Amino acid sequence: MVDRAGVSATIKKRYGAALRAQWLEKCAAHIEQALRELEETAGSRRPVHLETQVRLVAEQLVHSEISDSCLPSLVVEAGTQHVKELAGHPGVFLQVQSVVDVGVSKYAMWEAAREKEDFEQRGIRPSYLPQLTDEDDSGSGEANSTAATQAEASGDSHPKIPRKMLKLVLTDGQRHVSALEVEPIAQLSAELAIGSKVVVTGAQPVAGTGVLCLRAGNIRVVGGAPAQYAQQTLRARMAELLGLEDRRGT
Amino acid sequence: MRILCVAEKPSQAKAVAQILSQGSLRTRDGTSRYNKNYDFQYRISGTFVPVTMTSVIGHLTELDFPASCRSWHSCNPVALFTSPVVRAVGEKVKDVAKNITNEARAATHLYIWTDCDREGEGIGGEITSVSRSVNPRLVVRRAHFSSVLAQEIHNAMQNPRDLDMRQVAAVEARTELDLRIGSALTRFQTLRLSSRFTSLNDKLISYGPCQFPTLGFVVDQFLRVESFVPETFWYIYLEHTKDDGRAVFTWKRSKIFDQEACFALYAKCMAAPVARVTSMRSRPKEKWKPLPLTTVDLQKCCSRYLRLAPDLIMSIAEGLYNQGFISYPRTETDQFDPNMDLKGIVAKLVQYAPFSAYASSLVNEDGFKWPRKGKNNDKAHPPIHPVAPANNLSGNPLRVYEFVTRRFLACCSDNAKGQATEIEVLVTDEQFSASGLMILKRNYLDIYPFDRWSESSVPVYRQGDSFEPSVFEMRSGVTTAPKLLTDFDLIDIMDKNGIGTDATHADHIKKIIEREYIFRSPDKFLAPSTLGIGLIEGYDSMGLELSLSKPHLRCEMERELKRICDGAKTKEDVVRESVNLYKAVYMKSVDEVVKLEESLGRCLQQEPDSSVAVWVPSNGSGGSEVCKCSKCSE
Repeated sequence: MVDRAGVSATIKKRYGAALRAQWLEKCAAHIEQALRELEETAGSRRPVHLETQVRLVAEQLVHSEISDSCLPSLVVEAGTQHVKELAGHPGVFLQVQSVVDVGVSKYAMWEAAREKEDFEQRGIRPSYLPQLTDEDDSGSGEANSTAATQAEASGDSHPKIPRKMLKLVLTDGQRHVSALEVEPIAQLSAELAIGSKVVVTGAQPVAGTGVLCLRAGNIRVVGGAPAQYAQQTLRARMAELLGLEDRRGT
Repeated sequence: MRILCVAEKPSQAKAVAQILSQGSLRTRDGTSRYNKNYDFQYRISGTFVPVTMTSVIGHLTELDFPASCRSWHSCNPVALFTSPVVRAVGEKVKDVAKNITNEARAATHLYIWTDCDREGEGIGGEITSVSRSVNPRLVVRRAHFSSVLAQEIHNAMQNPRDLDMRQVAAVEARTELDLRIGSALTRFQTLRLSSRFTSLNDKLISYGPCQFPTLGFVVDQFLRVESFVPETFWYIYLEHTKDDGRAVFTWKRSKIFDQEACFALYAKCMAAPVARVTSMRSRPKEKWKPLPLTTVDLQKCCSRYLRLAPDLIMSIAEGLYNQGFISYPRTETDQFDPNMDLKGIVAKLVQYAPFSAYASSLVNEDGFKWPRKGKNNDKAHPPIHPVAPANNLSGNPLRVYEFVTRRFLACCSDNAKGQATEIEVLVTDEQFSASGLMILKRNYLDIYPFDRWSESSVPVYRQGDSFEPSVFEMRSGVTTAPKLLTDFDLIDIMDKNGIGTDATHADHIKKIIEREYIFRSPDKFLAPSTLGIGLIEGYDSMGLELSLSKPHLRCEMERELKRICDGAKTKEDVVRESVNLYKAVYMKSVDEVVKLEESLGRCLQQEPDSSVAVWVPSNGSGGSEVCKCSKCSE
């Protein structure tokens, strides 16, 4: 038997997520069914520890659609609708709806994602074409030579996705909030799966904008990769934003 | 003892013979119109020895398929991968070969004087086998030299080496592979495609294992430019005007491609818009003089700065080398041997009027500094450098000579020296920086105007100062599309991807222009033709991991050829492995040829002509019925 109250309280304390009763009921029933089948084959009957129950529910939670599984938790200002400062411990449980590196042009990102995919899936090495350097109108021919030496430096190694500053759009199932990585946070990357679950603690919004500022201690990636978002790879998202259809290769 | 010397070109034979005979030579006609024979006496170990110097005109023998496979319709192209090949004296050079055999009969020693690179060694091997066919007891030696300078030539004559048979094997391997692969694919492509597209009738759609990857680079960049999407970006602009000047600060984050994000950061700063100087550093800065000159660099720089095509650059450089003005222009070495008398060369250049003053200052006023050392050494030739003042040149040869000389003098100069000031400020959490530069000594920049170093002034700040910015606002810009490749870029990419050698880069580019796969626009950009794009996209769409249009196949082959030279692998092994690899790729291409046709149809905007019988490779018996008509299968 799954202890619904106990699991709910533990998850709230650990992840800041307030589970919807309906969803928890479905999830618990599903787990109980699976446990019953196990008991039948194993032949024994043993009560399952609360910790294990929490773990099983949490596994389902990270892969779920947050609007199905959790109650909304973001608090907004009445007038502006901007998000208020997020609570401290345990923080707020949110779902990643989009991840974009705003310091890199989408085009350059798309090229890099494509090269990496080609390399990982088909073993095709990058061909050292002069790299895009996101130059503006005032850019000069200098750019080409420095880019070429950059390519030389990275040499035969694995093609890398450029990394400048990530902007996330997070949701509690009802409202969305933008969050900006003001200093590089190792756990995050442009390739983070859409639908991943994160816990945000103590992040401050910039006054007058409602954009959260994230520093290393403010965000923890819990995990998850819901199936409904599986098609939204980095490459696909960039192609869509740019309005490109990938006609060469697949 | 009687020595026969054979050079690679008639002009070289004459130049070398002049030096060795110290002017007293006798010219004699041979069986070849182009190749004269020069007789003279040369002193070796105290005794005078009769010497005859003659030449060939490039390769003496050719590789081809036996008569049964030679005609295009005589066999299935796939047979070309495994058919025997025959090496025979080329038709056009029969007279040249005759001259060699005539002279070889009377000689005891054969000295090879071809260019000292892999191809030259290969030609040396051919000369050897042709000569030994009439005189099996000939002793063969190899003269090694990097410039047509008296001292070097005499040194080469008196200290001959052995012919490097490993390099000869590598050249034989390359010729065989290029023949098999090139022929099979050219026949297949041309026969199939020229019959299907009216605009391609009678056109030779050739394939070369280096040409195609080179075309691939040009097409890839073109498609990149085509599919580019411009994007708007935003940044924070900070400017401060003081009594002693104006400073423009650059944001550390450079650009942000999202307005909301940039605004959020800007708003954070605006809460307390005061800049605090976190560091102010003034330190000496140097701009390094260039590295010694390699072939790839020569082509890159002359194409960019002098706007000359790479193949023209190489033929001019060869001309300058044969006239004794510069050293051998095909080299990968970018470091000078410590035993070379570089100061002596600079001293000679004092006699070259335009640079006389600069050269003097290097020699007399202690301005001479040893050149930088690069990472490459092909152990065959030094970096390209002038060997004598050339006071009677004009036009393009003059420009190329001057470039080589400027580069050399720059290498022997000191780095440019300046003083740089760097200021860093913080506004709330956002970092900005400004810099200034004062050039104290131009040094090499005086003789090498191709490098730029610009001065800029910046006002004085002290660490800990605070100020209110005069201008602090969000600005925006738009990204611009990358440009098509220039010769400079293409040679660079070919070099980095191992396509071709320094001797052949220019040739491959020239070839694909000839075949109308790409063209050079008036402002020197390289663009592919619709035929070129169609071919590359067609092969790419076959989903080959080792696509014919990508550099990896050829790059691997070049590596294997190098292993033959290093003695790590035999010619037979390399040929066999490469043939198997390319044969598999060929078979797949035949299977998927429809994709090639689709791609071409799209690019040429033509439908394949379905009224003509489709050519399908079949095992012809040399007769006339070798096309399977798709309609009646006869």
